Amino acid sequence: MSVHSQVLFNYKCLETELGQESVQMIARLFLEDTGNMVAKMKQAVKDKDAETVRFTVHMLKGCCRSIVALSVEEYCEALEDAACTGDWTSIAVGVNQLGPLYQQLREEVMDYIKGEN
Amino acid sequence: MTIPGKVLIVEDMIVQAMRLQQVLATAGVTTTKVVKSGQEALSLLGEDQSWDVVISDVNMPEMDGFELCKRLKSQPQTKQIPVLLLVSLKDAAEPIKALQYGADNFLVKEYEKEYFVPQLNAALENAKASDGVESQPFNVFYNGAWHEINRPASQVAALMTAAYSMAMREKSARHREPAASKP
Repeated sequence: MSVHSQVLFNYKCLETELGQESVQMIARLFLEDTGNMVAKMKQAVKDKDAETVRFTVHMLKGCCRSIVALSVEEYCEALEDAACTGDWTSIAVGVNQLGPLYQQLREEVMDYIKGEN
Repeated sequence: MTIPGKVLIVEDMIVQAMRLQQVLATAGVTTTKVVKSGQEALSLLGEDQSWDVVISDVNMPEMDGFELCKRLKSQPQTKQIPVLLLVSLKDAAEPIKALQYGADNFLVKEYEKEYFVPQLNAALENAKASDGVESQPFNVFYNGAWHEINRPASQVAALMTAAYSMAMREKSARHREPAASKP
């Protein structure tokens, strides 16, 4: 079930620019590169390690930009800002909400790879 | 238009490196290679200095892009290779740090060819123009401290202009795209 009604992975504009074969490869790499990031951030929240949250969400933001998942990228940007300020309420809520958002994106990317969207 | 023939990309996130490779390929860059860490880049460039430019991410574990840049610029055999740092513009001190560490210019992770290629071109033209130019050290007061800069004036101006232009672009992009829902 979608957390957000909007589509997070807009593969069509990427395919127009790069072609289907390249986008398939980028989509696979996205899944590989980002698979453990949310778990890492959740652990960092438990450890009160704002720098790890900042560093990891920055990485995720860049990966989202690579696949033109702009909404998630912007969410990551806001979370990165919160991590920079050390505002633990915003960080904890932000990481918690990022989980289902990322999961939705991941599922959309997996569906794309399987040819189901 | 200056299009480099050989570009070394230093990026630990492979999906981002691939995306950059594709943009460069569509711009006419014939050879790109990706290494995943600053240490790998130092090893490769220690043996082979034929690369036209190094494009390095800043945020990397173990050795960040600034440190890589500093090391490349301190070695006689690699100091002539332009180093462009991929920045996030999250920290206003980045331009000062980039100048102190010897970076030739900035790029933002922006994968639209229409934006990235002129950005790359401007960075390389300015790097060429500053190559071999004598510099006079000067100090900048920022964030409660003095910072010494020892780079040619043309390079300082080019880097500051690039940083400002990127900040303006980021600002206008924020106004265009709504976030999923911000934390």
